[in-house]
Order: sequence, then structure tokens, then C-alpha cells
Amino acid sequence: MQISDYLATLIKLNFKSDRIHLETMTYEFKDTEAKVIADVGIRGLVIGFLLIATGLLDGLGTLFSDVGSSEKALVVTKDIFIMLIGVLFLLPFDNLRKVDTTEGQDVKELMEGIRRLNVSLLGMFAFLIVVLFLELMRILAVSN
Amino acid sequence: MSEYEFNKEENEDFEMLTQRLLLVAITTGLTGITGLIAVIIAFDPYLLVSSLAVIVFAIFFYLPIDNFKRIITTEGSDIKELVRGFFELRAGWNVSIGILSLLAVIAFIKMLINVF
Repeated sequence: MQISDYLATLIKLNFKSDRIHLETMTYEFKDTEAKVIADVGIRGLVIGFLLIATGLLDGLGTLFSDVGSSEKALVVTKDIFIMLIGVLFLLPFDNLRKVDTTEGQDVKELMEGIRRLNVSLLGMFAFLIVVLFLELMRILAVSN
Repeated sequence: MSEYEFNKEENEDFEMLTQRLLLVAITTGLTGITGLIAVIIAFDPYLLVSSLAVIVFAIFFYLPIDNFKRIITTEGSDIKELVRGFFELRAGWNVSIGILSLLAVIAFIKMLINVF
């Protein structure tokens, strides 16, 4: 292949890529599709607040209970991490909700929501490892 | 408008999403199972309900993975698979909200009993 042919192919590919990019920017979800995505966003917010409330109530309940101090510390620490998981649920879902409320930005908002969800899931994984470890410690403490 | 195809960069984000959903599903499932073991050793109704709930959450994290994976592996049905994945997530999270509300009520009652 001549260099000029190679350059011509490259230009064609770039042109095609630009067209795909333009299509990406103008894509709009249908109302029913956007609603499903936005619903996940709203439910994510509700789950986040419920996890924070549950962690807070269980933590307070444990603080006032008559269990041993080491078990109390383990449960309260676990509840703090559950509340942090709740906060992570709140982070990505504003973008998903915007898919239904804005126009001309659907894919951009969706992908931003997915990226934030990816970050949240990584955080949840890390916090769940801590919760798992605390649960194992609690089993050891109770069984001894 | 014709069927939309996610580009390479977007597919990479979906691939990451499937991997992390699986990671969280496994860890959540393990946490629930560990909680159930703790219930066997020392019975606690709140821990029993919360451990069962955690296992259910693990299933809900796992369910949409297949649809999100198909966004990357198939062509011509990206939006269909995306919406199905989100539909699975919405259904799972509807149930999760119900379970978490119940847990919040139990935690509230437990707190009242311990305080007074």
C-alpha cells in the first residue's frame, strides 16, 4: 500500500469515527427507556438513605445495649461501614436521574452515571471486605 | 433512530461494571453467609433478617450482569440489553427498599428497647 493510500484510509476512518461521535452526542432514549434508567437512580438514592438510617439506628441500639464492649465496638464499626456504603449508593445516581430530565445529554449522563457507579462499586467492595472481617471477628468473639 | 452502538471506551466502562458487580455480589453473598453462621452461634433476630437480606442483595447485584455483558459481546442490541439490565436492577432494588425499610423498623424497635 502506498503512503497516500494509507493516509486516505486513515482520513476515511477518522471521518467515520467523527460521524459515530456525532451520533453519540445526539442519541435520545425513548421515554420508557429513560424512565427505567431514572428509576434506578431514584431507587439508589432511597437505598442509600435507608442504609444510612439502618446503620445509624442499629449503631445507637448497640451503643445502649448490654453486650460486651469488644462486641459493641465491632458492631458499631460495622454499622459505620454500612452507612458509608449507603453514601456510596447516593453518589452515582443523580446522573442516571438526569437521563430522564434533560435532553441532548442522555448518553453523556448515562456514561457518567456508569462511571460513578463503577467507583461506588469499588468502594462498596472495599467496605464489604471490612464488614466481612468484622463479622468474622464477631463470630470468633462470641464463640470463645 | 437506528440501533445505537456503544463505542470502545463506553464498552470498557460496561466491562468494568460487570466485573465490579460480580465482585460486590460475591462479597455481599459471603457477608450474608458469615452473618448466618453468627446467628447459628448466638441467635439474634435482627442479624438473622439482615443476613438474609444481604444474601438477597447479592442476588440482585448478580442478576443484571448478563445483560451488561451482552452490550460488549453482541451487536445491534446495545440499548435493548442496557434497558433490560437496568430493568433487572430496578426490580431488585424495589425489593431491596422493602427489605431495608423492614430492617430500619426492626433496628428502630431494637434501639427503643435498649434505650428504655
